[in-house]
Amino acid sequence: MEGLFVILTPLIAFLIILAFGRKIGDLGSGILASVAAGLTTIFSLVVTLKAIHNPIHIKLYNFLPIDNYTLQIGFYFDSLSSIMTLVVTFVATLIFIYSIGYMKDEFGTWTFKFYAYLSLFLFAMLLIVLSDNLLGIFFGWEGVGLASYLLIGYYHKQKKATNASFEAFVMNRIGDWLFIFGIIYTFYLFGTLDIVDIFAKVESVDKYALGIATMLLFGGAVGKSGQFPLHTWLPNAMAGPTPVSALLHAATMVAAGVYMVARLYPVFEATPQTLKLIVVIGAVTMTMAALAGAVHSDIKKIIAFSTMSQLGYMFVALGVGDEGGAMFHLTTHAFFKALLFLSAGAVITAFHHHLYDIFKMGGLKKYMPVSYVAFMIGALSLAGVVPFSGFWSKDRIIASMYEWSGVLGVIGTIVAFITAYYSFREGFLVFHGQERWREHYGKEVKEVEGVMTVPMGLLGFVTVLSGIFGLWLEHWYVGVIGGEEKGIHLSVAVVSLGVAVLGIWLAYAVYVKEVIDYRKAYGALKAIHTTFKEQFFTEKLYHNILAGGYMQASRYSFKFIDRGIIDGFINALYKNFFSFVRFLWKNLDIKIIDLIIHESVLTAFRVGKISRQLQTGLLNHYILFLTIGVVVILGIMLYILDRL
Amino acid sequence: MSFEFPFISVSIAIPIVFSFLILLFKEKFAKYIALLGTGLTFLVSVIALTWFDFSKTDVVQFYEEYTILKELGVKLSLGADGLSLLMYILTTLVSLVAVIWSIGDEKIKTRLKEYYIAFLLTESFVIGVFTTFDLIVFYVFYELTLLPMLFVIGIWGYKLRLYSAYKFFVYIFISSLFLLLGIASLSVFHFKEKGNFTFNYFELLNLNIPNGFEIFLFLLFFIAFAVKTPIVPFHTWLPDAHGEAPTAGSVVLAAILLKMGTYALVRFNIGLFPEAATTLAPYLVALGIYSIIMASWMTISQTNIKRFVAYSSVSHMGFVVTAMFLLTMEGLRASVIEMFAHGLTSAGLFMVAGFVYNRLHTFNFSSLRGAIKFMPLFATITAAIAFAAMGLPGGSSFWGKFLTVVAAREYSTALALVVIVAAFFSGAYVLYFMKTLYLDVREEGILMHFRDVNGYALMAFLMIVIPVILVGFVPFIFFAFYEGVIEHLLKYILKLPF
Repeated sequence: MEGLFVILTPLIAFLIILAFGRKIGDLGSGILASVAAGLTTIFSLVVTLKAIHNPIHIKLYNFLPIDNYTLQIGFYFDSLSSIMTLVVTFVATLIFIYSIGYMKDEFGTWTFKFYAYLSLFLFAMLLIVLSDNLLGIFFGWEGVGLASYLLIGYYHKQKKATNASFEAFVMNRIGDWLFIFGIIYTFYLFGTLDIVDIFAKVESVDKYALGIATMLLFGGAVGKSGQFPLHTWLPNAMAGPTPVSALLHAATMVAAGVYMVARLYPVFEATPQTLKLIVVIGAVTMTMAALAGAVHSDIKKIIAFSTMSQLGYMFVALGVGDEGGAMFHLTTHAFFKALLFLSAGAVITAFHHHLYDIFKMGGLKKYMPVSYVAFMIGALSLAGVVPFSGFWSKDRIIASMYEWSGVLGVIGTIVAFITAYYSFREGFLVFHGQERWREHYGKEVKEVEGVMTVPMGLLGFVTVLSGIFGLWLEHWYVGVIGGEEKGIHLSVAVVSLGVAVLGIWLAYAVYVKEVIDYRKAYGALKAIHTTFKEQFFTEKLYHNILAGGYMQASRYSFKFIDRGIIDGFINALYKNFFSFVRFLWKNLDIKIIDLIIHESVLTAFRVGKISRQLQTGLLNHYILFLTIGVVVILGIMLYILDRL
Repeated sequence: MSFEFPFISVSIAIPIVFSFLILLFKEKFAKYIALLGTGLTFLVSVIALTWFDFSKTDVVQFYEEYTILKELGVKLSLGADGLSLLMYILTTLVSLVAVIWSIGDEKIKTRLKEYYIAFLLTESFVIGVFTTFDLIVFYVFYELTLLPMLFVIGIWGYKLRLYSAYKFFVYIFISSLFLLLGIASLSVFHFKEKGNFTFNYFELLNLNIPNGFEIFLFLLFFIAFAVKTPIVPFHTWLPDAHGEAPTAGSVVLAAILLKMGTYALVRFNIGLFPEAATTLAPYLVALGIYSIIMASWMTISQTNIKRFVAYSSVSHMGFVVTAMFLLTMEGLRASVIEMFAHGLTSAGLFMVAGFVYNRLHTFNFSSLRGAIKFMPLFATITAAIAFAAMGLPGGSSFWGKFLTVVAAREYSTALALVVIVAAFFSGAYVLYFMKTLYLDVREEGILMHFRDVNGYALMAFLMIVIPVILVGFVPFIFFAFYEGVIEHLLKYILKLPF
């Protein structure tokens, strides 16, 4: 029963806030959402303890009969899904609490909507994680898309935000349609949508067709996880409130793609060609995103690019066959990424949403010590420095990459270096150095309040703790979800630790010691800088050429085809008909018939004088004509049919 | 049951009787009489629902027959199988919604008597169309629905109402002449084969029509219904008619009058001419997909919100046609559920447009930017309807689109991919719609004083939103209506292997 509570609690919170939000008030709604999320966490802890060794399968009701198969709504708690649930709910709870503080400036402007959407978001994510059939996953998948659409566009007074949410939904829809097609394809291969049944039948289906199915399913993951080529929405989605970014990037939404592939891993494992595609997409994304992150200047976008890059790592790990590594990195990433976002959000709150550019900040560490420490813990973990949690998970993935191919491993190492560089570039520019913000922001800054620092502290604590016990944790985690056991590769570990330290040192030298003037360097490398920043101009391509072209095509096709050709034809017909009729009237009616009538009337008068008796009513004439007409038509029909 | 209550004829008669009552009473009572009339009809239809035997949906139930013209075999035969019943419920529901909406509509102030009489008559005629099994009676009802709608558009419409009304009338009137010709030919053919005139659907089913002639008849019927549905390129009357009709008129037009076309395609085109349907199916599927894509394209650049919704209707109808002519169980299922779903969502979207007009007095998209976000309840309702129309799971249109892809996949992967691309395009405009109405920046401060949706309008909205969500979450209830009908159609008429 706890299993159902896990799913239903956020839904109930959502419905209550939606219906009574105005009465409860903004603060009350926030508290309600947080309490619901907390309860969900507790329920999921209970379920996890039960389900981790003996999977629990809940079946609810018959939903839809398709082709000899009846879809049942149901939920499946095994070690993978229940641990994921625990991570999602725990991180979400902390973010919900934090958001009460973050959204305080907005209170009084229907902020309860925000908490309603957050609860909906959590519910949809849990649906993805826990559904026992592909269609249920798809319901959650779309629900997440909808909730993120509403949340990203939450600051609807900003053009940027509304465009971003629009873009996010459109990109997601592309992925979603691929995903639904993948689901249908899978259904035709297996005759079932139940994931447990699908796993049982993987060996018995055509491998080629299965390859297509998994590629389509992966297409959905590409859209949801912001991988190349459906990636541009992810950095733009930063226009939403920071807790949303944290939620989006830590455990929900973007992680859903990785989770889905891991969930269906037995199917993906059977199709090596799809796994290769996953590796390529993941590697391209992680490199491109890391390069973009290294040159961007928006405090949140850098973190967004880092998410994209880390998701790339996870996909590569899935592709090279290290499912356990991917899921472990997903988990550690959820914590330190949430931490990074929350501390970035704290900085934004401190500036009351006036400053986003990291080059306009600096020297914040003495004003905001908690946020500083939190950020640094997150950054160290992201960079993969021992003994923080990111080190263990990332190192494992890089080792797996080396096992698969040397080139891939080298790419992984290089990206690790860039990662360390950009995360500390941001950290140093924001918290160290001169107080450049004084030129742009008139007031003093101070540390944010307790409702925001406590969640940060908790997340930081978990990140450090899981780092210290990282080796055991990895061992246990991978063992439980049934991944491959791996020892630590000392050489790989040393190399990646080395490049991480090197990256941090480089950032320190450039941005704190200023051994070179980075402003001038940007000027000199402008071309390459712009290329990286624009993610190799993919965004321009999508926005201006594809989307703009679509709108143009729409306008022209309306103008020419509908208005021009079809309506033109109709109108011309109409007009010509009238002129033709007028012509007939003038020539035939007036000149010929009227003349005849005139004459005949005159004649009739003459005759009429003679034969007044032959009068008939008008109605009778009509009936006569009608009868004659019907007879003639039916006669013609009969004649034609006789000829057939 | 020994005694069968004549549900169908009663529900055709009630609106007519009440329209006489409207004539008798004063103008200020007109709306309440109309409300009572449509409400009573809805009640009758709900009672009919409980009496309907869902174990044999393919059998025509509540059957009544009255001879009109003995010599030509014209009989007023009324009845409902599962498909008719679903459309019948949709008709009574939407008519009630339209009347409720009109009571609260500020635009409707003049000539109330005629207005409500027009709606009552439309309801009565449309029920006739959906429940008759005699082709001549069908044709008569089908033509009669034109008249009240013509007046609704022409009298209570907006600026270009006369042009639109005539365009509507001429388009449909001319196209239905083809239908008349088709019906006459079919009946004459029956006379030649069997020696007696009949227009009865079931008797005409048993004909063995030579192939070429069958295709000819199919096309005659098809032209009429394609214009009504409408399918691109016969669609240009629709945006004009919708753009200028009063809100309730658009609601009825989109939700039930268009369904007459698609209903008739299933019932008559596929039912009477199965071989022709099978032969022509690939072309019709192509036409349907073309319809979806073209209409979706045109939709996104519309500047008038009602035209926008109208074009989106065309693209939805494209889905109905595409799915229908895949001629599989899943396809027909998708087609009918999409008809029902579109009936609800298009009604909802037109009410959204009308509601915004009543607040802002404009249909222009760019001046509506961000308008609805000051009305939270209204915004929620709009989002629910719009996303349901987009095919988000949990909304009504999802099952139509999903099952269309399933059905297309049975033919080929490529076709399914094309359908998916089309579905994507048809989702894009809804997002654009939502972005404009809901998310865009609105500077004018005065517009903060919007009154949220309330009263009759709220009631009308809820009567749409609740079924929309029901279809989304418990689709099997609605599939149960017509499962038997399409199974029968596929097994015995199309004779497809099962």
